[in-house]
Amino acid sequence: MQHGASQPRGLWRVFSLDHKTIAKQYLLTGLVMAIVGGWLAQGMRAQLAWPYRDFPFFGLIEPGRYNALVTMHGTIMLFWVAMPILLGAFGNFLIPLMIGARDMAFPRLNMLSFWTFLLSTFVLLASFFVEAGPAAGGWTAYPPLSAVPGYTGVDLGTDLWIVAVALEFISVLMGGINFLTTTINLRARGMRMMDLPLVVWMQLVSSVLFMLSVGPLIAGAAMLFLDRHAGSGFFDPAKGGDPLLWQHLFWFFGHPEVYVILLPGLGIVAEVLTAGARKTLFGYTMIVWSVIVSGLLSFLVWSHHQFVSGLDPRFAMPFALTTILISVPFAVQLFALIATLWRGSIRYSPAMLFAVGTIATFLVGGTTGIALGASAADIYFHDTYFVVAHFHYTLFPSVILAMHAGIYHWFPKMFGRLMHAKWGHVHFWLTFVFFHLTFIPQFLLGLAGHPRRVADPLQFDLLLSGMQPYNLVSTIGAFCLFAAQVPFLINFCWSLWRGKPAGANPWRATTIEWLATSPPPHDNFPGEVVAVRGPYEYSTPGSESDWLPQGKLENADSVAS
Amino acid sequence: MNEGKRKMSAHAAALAERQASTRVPSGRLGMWWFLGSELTLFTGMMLIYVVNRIRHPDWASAAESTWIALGITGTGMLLASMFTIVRAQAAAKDTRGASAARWLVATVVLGVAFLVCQAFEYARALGAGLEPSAHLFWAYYFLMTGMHATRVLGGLVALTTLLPAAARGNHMRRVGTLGLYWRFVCIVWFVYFTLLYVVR
Repeated sequence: MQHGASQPRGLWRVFSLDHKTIAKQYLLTGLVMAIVGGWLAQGMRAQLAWPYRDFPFFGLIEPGRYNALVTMHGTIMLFWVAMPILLGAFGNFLIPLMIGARDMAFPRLNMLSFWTFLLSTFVLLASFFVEAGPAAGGWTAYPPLSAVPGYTGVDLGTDLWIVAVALEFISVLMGGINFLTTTINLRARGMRMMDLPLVVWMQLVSSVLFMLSVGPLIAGAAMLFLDRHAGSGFFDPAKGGDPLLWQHLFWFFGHPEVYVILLPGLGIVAEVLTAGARKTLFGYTMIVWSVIVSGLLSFLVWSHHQFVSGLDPRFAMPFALTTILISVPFAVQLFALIATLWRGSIRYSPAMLFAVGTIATFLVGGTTGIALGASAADIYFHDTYFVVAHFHYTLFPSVILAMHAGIYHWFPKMFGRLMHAKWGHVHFWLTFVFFHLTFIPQFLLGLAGHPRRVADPLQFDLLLSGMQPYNLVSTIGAFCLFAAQVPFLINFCWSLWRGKPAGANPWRATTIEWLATSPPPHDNFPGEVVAVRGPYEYSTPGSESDWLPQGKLENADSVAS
Repeated sequence: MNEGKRKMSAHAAALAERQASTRVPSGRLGMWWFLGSELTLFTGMMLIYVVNRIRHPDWASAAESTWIALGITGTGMLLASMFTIVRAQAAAKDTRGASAARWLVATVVLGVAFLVCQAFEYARALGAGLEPSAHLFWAYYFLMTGMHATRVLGGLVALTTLLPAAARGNHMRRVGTLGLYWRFVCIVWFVYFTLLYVVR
């Protein structure tokens, strides 16, 4: 714990070692990148509704540029929005506060993690301004599209993409080491592992998943680099290599990565739901174990992304089975969350609306995933808009809706002020309605066989006659969805200075972070935190108050502040 | 003010010490997690190589052109460095700073010697036209040994940075933590050496 004495001053304060400041830096960067990523999607949707027009801001989007939009939208949303916000921001902010620690175990590593991330952000953004533009080989960077510049016409952009993603991974790796060590070693006295708030468990499992899955892809990135610059043929059949190898390396990471993103989102939802429904979490132990089981299973499902890649059907079958199997622990988690609502005295704060919206939307994503996980059905669905709609129905709730739930819920703790609730409601309903307006038509387009990743929606009009209006509806939905974030941004900025002062615990929530003042000082707590009961003691029978805090403060130190 | 600050941070440090929920120091625990992710990287590459090697029996001829004598020399250096790092760790455990520093210097010298062997092997191979583009075996050779060499280099930098403090008897715990890392890097090499040089 060498921090505290060496806290920098003045402008140098941006190089903060404080986990809360680092969390806010992650949040800010992530939100800016969310605007960039969302903006790129507007270009794609415009092209799909009115192909080859001269659009305001975007101009003419020919196929090469469309590919770049697809690639960068996916890359940014997953690696520069989901990861920094769900792990970087919420993980950093919540873990030490919720376990009653003063900071992370390695504050310097934590700072280094953020600055590496910011560097990766600049490298990625720089790729928009180089010759031939950013990477256009898809966010999965399959060779030969990524290995041979001739296919996409992009050369330097792909190199910058690889470097940026590698830096981002190193940053998350440093964060993960910190999360794990902190949670294991710095818990408050009396707090057992099974007393951890669920969101901390989720961050923990996420970090393990990330750290144990990313290694082979780092090797893969090195191989891709050698293929591009040293003439090797790891992924080139002409030289004895195998392009499928990349797909294995990518998805061995890529599928656990889906859960790396999903789990923290579900954790945030669990915290918000219990506080909003004034009920204890249903089946805490069962949820924790099902999360661990789903984490283990997530290493055994990767090839379901490759069912139509020419994979041996004898290899595909076991992956279809594990894929269907993994829906069981997730069903357990979702049903437990729904059961938490049962007979609760629910208060629909904006955070609560977003949390419930997350569950409702994710259920659709989860169930359509079963259709895709069956290797036979996937042959039809693969590379249609059904897949696009499916993963947006899983990722939008776990990233965007859960993120908003988290922001509305912990904004008071982060900044000491409440966000405006009325505008929060408006923001939720607009977001929720326009999300479904955007993606329900895409399910229908996919069922009709509309291919994804194709710049011209009319290319297969012979087969899809009459489907173009669905594209139009989807595009209008997407425009409105993007615009619906404006009330949020205004609310966010306005509340920073003008919001009602929140007090330490505006939601009368039980977990330990609410013991600290809002915002908490650099050392978090004015004394030593002792955990005295479980994390979700709401409406405990026999208790007068409808909530009992998990921790209490002892030995308030006179030196503080 | 400054006095208060120092007191506060001492207080925080004492608190952190009391808070440690396992007996494993945080530095060592963090290192274990890091090695866990390194393990997937290096076993990942190993598995890819083995699967490819089994699918391509013809790689045996390409694998024959490795310079085995040099490979054995380099391996010997790392083997010796495993001995010296264990001595350094033992000295650090008894807070004998000067002795730990001497063993660390020995480890660094052996590590550098290993990298020199590697460099000779690279120079010879590239000179003989055995580039990554020449044959997939050599592509894997450069990938795996190159990835490993970056880890050796990283270890050397870390060990050298630690040296002055260790000589004064400070940061003795870090000697142990870095020793863990160094031994991991050595063990990876023994496996890779066996795969790339010995098994044909």
